[in-house]
Amino acid sequence: MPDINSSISLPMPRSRDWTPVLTSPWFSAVIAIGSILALWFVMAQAFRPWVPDIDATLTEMWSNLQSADFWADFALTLWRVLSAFASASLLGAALGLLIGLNARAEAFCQPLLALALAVPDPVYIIFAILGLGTGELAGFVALTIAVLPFVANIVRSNVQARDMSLDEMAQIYHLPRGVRMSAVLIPQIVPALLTAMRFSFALSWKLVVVVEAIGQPDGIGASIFNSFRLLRMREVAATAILFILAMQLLERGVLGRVEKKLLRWRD
Amino acid sequence: MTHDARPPVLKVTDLGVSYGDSEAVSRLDFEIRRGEFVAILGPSGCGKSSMLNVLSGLNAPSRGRVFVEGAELFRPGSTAPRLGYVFQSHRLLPWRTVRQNLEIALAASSVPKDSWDRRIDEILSILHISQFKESWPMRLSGGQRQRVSIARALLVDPAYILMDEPLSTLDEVTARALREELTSICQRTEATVVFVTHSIREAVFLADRVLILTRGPARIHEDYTIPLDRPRDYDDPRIAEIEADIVRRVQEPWGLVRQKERHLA
Repeated sequence: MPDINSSISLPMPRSRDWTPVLTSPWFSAVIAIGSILALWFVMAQAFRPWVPDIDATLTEMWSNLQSADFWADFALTLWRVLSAFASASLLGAALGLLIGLNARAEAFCQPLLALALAVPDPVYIIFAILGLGTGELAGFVALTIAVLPFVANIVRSNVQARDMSLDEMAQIYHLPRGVRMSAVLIPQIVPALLTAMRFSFALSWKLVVVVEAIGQPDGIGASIFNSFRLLRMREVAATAILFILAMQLLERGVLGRVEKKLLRWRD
Repeated sequence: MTHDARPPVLKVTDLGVSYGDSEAVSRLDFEIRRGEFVAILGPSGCGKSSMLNVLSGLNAPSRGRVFVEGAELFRPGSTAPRLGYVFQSHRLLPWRTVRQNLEIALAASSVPKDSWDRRIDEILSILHISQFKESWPMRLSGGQRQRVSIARALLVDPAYILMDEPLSTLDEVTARALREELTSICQRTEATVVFVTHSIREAVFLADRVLILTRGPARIHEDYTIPLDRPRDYDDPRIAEIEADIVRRVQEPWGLVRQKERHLA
């Protein structure tokens, strides 16, 4: 009797390879969001009414999106976030460059920077409100002062860690000071600047909410605080989630694109 | 020996470089004439980098004088030398394309802007890298990057070009090809080149003269003229003979005899 196994090769049913699906970032995101929703569901069952239901929160979010008051608060908060982010990023980057390039400036500013980094953010907010009242200026100043040291520190350390051989090349080829700055130094610290900007943006929007909760009559932070005072946890969750999603969209959408464009030479 | 009537582009007299009590370069005297290709050969740590830092205008010497095209460097009011530099690593700006890297060097030179495009096209064509004009340096191989670095050095109408072991990081096949091209390009452009190397054979193949330095602090042990016409063949047995001759001559000044004796003992 002929050995069937050796003479005939039967087509074996091939199992589907799931590796690309399992390792894709989309799959990880779905798993992460699913886990958060599952955890939320369990918490809502366990701590009712302090943790609102998912469906009630989604309904509240939808009604927020249709509310003119929500958009007015959102626009105001966004303006505060962007103005604080811009001033902290620009001033922090300028200060970081100065300290990174100038030993005398570093000797003077470094202890102040270390102190500024050690001060808890709410302290700036409280002192700004005490000194400047509850107007727009207090929040702006508090946010700028709270975020600036972080940006300056990131930029300073990267300026000092730059590739000095490129400075030497620039000196040998007599590149003018302005060109050295714009073509040699700044592009070198672009990754650090982007990190600083991301950090600055993330810190700005979180602190804006705190500033508004403590000392402003309007804005997303004030709205969340009011809802909290009235124990409307569904409103707290809906407003917070919408705001967080919007900020994430801005950070990943706008800053992500800027990053991709500025660092295209790495691809 | 026939007298060379060409004017010296670079003249160094009694050059010394010290760092505190430590002397890196001691009493160097030499001249390099227009269109000459001079190799500087010395053991590791002999003070070549200190010498290059002076010749590139980065650091002033502790003693002695340096003249470029008759004008003395490092005097109050003197201008920095107009030179090209090919570094051991390419030192291109990775965030600028090949063209932009060349333009940035041209921007600081006296070359008129309306001739930049033509000059860049010419030099890229000579170095066979025209197709990479708009490429990012990170997309290029080590050899191609070094070609761009050579193009940058040639573009700026330099009084002389300093090359600091520019082929030492390349694989041997690429280095060979680039050596041959370098000799023909330098002849074609009549560039004056100071080429620092560890490789005796490379020095013999490329140079008109080889300045053999002693161990640190660097002094000139011998000014060796290469008795070969161009073009040269890297595998020419005469190159091997000259290499062997130079190896014999550097035994004493590089301390190799003592090392050998110590080893045998």
